[in-house]
Parts: sequence; structure tokens; C-alpha cells
Amino acid sequence: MDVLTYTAAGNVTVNASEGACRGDGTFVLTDGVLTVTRISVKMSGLPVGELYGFGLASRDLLMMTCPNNPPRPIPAAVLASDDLTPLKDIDLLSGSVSRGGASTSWSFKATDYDYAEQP
Amino acid sequence: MAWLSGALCPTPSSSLWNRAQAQVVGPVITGPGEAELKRITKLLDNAKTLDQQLAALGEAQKVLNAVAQLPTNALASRTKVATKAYVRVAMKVLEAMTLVCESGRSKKISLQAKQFLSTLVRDRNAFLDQSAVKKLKTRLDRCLGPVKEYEGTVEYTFKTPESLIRSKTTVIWILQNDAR
Repeated sequence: MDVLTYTAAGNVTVNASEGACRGDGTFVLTDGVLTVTRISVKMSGLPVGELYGFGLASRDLLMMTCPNNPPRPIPAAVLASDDLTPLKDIDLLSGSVSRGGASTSWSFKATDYDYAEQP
Repeated sequence: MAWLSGALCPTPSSSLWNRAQAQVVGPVITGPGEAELKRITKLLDNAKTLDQQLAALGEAQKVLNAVAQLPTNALASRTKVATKAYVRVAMKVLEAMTLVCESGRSKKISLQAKQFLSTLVRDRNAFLDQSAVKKLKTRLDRCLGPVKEYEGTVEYTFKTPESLIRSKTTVIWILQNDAR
């Protein structure tokens, strides 16, 4: 089993609401990782093939504006692709999960990719 | 294998390859579509050299795309025969390109092979031997190695009864390790 690890650089644009509070903004990513796990031997409960998972975050603060209350900061962005998901193709990956009244969905679209030089 | 490298490297054959790759949607056939389908089937069946195969694929793709736009399925049976011939030749060409990839001679050809295979799966999946496609993809992935860099977007939504967070991230992912 091989694990490929990628780091991320980029910007995240966030639009958030919580109760009557609202906030939005664009922030620089401070943390990010994508892992692609290649499984060549059949393991119990896991398919042979490739699985991916990612996490992205900005340590900046998003100010939520609330009527009749002072603004309050929340972490600007923390997002992750929950469980490892089968990697079907390299240009569009997506998934969703619903748990305890919260639902999450994500899509990962690669518009361009480049292979390492051959040795 | 010299013939292969000569045929697939940047030579006049490259323009043949480009023609084969071009997503040409020709004008809707107004004449006898059946005759066109018979012609490309014969062309594909008779293509022996790589140059002939690439030229036949380019020609066949134009006709198959044009026939797909016809508002009738009267040609369905003939189209099926032509598509089978197309897929058979495409897989032969892909096998040759994969051998070039495995010999380490041309990265460009390897990437073209991968792209051609993706297009083939997208457009003609019902006619493909899935096991053969999987084997070819594995061989191509193995000789190309891991993707070094992805550029793209991540769209994300988190929702609870009280809150909604949506985000869009433009991101470049860069490989940190190489497991080869």
C-alpha cells in the first residue's frame, strides 16, 4: 500500500450563516493535505484501487455579523472530505455524508494536472 | 520498435494523431450514411500500419459523430458494426502507445494515450472490454507514475438546521513524496 501526499496552496471564499448571523470573505489557505492511498492487495472491507481524502483550512477569522449583538469571529475555513473515498478518475471527485442532523458535501475538480518527469 | 518511435514521435504522423484526436463534429450526413459507415468499417478493418490506423480512427470518428446526430436509429445496426471496428483499432493503437510509455521513450505519447483512453471510455464505453481497459489503465498509470500536480477547485457545503456554510476553494495540490 502506497500513500501519496499532496500539500495545498490557494484561496477559499466562504459564505456562512448561523441563526441570524451572517458572514463572508476570501482567505488564504494556511493548511491543506490530499492523500491518495493505493491499495494493491485486497483488504477486508476495502476495495483494491485508490482512495482519496483531503483536508483544507485557513487559520484566519471570519467575522459573523449578528443583529443586536456584537460581531463574533469563527474560524474562516475548515473543510474535509470525511471518510476516504474511492478515486474513480483524477479530474472530478465528489462525495457527501449525512450524520446527526448535519450534512456535508464536496466536489473536487481538477482542471489541470501534470505528471512527474519519468526517471 | 524503431518503427513505433518513428511513427509516434513528432513527425508527419503527429498531425495524423492530432487529426485522430480532434473532436471534429462534422456536418450532419445528408447523403447515404450507411455507405459512409460501410466505408469507415472497411477502412478500419484494412488499416494495418500505425499510420493507417490513426488515419482510419480520425476518419471514423468524424463519421460516427455525424451519424450520432441523425434523428433516426435506422443505421443502428451498421453503426454498431462500425463502432466495434473503431474500438478494436483504438485498442490496438493504445496497446502500441502503452508499449512506448513502458519503454520510457516518450512522456508526451504516454499522456496522449491516457487522454485517448479517457475519451474512448467516455464516448464508447458500452463497446469496450472493461477488463482490458482496466489492465491498460493500470499499465499507463504505472509507467506514468503519480500525478505531480493538480490544479482545480473544491466546493464544499456544510449544513445543519441552524447553519449553512458554503465555500469554494481554488487550489493547487503539489506532490510531496513519490512512492515509486
